[in-house]
Amino acid sequence: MNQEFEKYARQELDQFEVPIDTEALWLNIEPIVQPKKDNRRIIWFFFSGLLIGAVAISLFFNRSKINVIESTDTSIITTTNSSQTLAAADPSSPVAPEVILQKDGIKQQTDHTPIKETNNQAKKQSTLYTSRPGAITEKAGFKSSVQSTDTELNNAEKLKDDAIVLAGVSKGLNVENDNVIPKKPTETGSSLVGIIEDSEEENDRGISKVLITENEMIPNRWEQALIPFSSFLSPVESDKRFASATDVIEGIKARNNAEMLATKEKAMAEAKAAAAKNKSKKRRGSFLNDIQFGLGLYGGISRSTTELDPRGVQNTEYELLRVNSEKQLETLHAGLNALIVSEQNLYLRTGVEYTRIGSLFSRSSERVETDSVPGIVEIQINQVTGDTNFIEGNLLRTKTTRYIKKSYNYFHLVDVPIILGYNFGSEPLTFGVEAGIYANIMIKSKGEIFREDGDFYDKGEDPNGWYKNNLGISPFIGCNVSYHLNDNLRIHFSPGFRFPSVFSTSTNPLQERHANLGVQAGVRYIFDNY
Amino acid sequence: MKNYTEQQIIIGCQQQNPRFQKALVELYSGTLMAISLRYARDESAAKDILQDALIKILRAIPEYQEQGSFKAWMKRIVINTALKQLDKSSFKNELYTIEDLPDQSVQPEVYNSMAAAELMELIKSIPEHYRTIFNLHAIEGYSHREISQLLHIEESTSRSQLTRARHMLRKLLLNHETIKMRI
Repeated sequence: MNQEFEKYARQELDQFEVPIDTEALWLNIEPIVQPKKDNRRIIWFFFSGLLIGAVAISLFFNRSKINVIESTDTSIITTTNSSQTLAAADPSSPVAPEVILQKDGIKQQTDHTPIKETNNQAKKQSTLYTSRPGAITEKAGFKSSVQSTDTELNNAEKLKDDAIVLAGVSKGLNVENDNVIPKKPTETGSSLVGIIEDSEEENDRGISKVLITENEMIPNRWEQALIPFSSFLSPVESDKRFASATDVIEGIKARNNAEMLATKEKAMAEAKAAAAKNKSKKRRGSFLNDIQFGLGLYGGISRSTTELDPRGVQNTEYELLRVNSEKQLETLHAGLNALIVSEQNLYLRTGVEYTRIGSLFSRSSERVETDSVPGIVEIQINQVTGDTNFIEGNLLRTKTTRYIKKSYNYFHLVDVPIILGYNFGSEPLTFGVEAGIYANIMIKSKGEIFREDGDFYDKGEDPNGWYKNNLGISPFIGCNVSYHLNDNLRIHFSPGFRFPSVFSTSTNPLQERHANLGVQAGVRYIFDNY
Repeated sequence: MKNYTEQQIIIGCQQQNPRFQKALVELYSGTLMAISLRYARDESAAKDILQDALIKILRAIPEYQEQGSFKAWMKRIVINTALKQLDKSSFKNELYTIEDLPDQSVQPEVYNSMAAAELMELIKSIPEHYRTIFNLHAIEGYSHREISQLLHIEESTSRSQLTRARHMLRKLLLNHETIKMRI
């Protein structure tokens, strides 16, 4: 009996299985058997993402409008030989400048002569008045001080009775090149690095000007965005900074105990939740068992192409004005993804995405000031005796100040992408293709552009209702490369193209459309079976 | 859960991949729980034994050499874990002689219709130390020498306790037969 019974019992019990809630069991086991570094890695990713996001947001919000003023200074000095006289010094000259020369201090007068302000980019012209150096001129919402530190300028100030305040655009001047000795340019503005351009302009009175154009002054955006590291360091009292070894060990023990307790409690709670989940899972059937869910965080950069379509022939000039005054900048993207991945490697991606389309709007104007400084205006050489005679007088000096105002225009978009894709390849590297739509929730415009009449139009206020509040739906196609860091965590690099959407309304004289071609990169966490 | 092969699970667990670790728990928990129940006092103790054993398995698997059955390797770990939790003092070095016990045969029809759960119940009804030795020798196939080493007892003690266990089981089976006949 014994052997037969035991054989039977062995066979029966060998195949015997007792049903057990493996989900709850795994929840108890997982925290013990899983190395902690995996959790740390996720935390690192999470906080790195947060940090990148914070820096990007900080950069974005600190990128305020920047006014740039360029100054160009022109100095003129001429010499003549015995047969020549300086035309500008002689008011009776047939090519005398268009201002009255006041001499010998009989009458002090500052001649406020209208000058042309030339708007290079916008071809916009306006008139302003200038006075002697040092005066402050304000126009078109920006203010600048014309500073002259040169010695000659001071001299000119002293000899103001003899000064000529001459204004005029440089095109009226002419010169005989051989007689021109360029003078040291006057320093203007702040500490900008100057570049001497090769251009020289001449007038017909033997006066030459040398243009010294300074580099564009664009403040370093990083400086604005980055907080000095020292600001993170707060003073710590010395007794709080150092602890004894015993204190440290006790602290670690206490922390470990607390962690263990917390882990145990968490495991119990999770076990209950898992049991409840198991019940509902059974109810839901097998379909949901075959799909996985994921969450992702991503950022991207793209190039936005702008199409301005004139609605009539008369708008072509306006289109040109807009095209010349606006320069498209990079477009930034940031978003949160939710994914559903099927066993067949199909996935549905949705979420919320923020897009910022940027452009640079710039306009410039130029002011030319002309005055005089004392100097040798004529050198007479007696060719028989060899005597040289220096005749002093006033030399013309022209100063050109160029103003450039730059501001950044933005479209802020919030979209919900609904994208269907298919993944192929084997881990750790997989590839995918995807297509779908971007449903725009909101669009907000900010900045300034030119109106048809040459004035500025505030896109933010949008008084004429030129821009839409919602773009509707735009098609999207893309592909992606994913690298699986582990079973759950993936990083991806996804080029994509968003088809053009019309941003303008019918009241806008130009139809404005934007399309985006760019890349996104991010991290996705795929949860285990639901 | 995906259907992984035993080989995939072993490799995955050796790489400490949580997906495969979970798959191991899901796939083998039922079998290992049945073993644990045979040695434990009650279900709660069996669950504790199973949990401890699974932790040991998952920690020891990177050193697992693929010699012999993987299932048998896991079973050994469960049994060793269960034995460590037993009160060893219950294994007294007592001797029973065969002559002391009446020999009465039990017909196979009595136990052939018994399901595994019933057999488990039957075996669990005998005292813990007898049951342990019976399980080790009759069900798991350990020799008396191995049992003596595992439980730190004399081989003769193992033999006599096995005899006692068999005797008790026979009595229980006969009672079962009587009850069955009455019905």
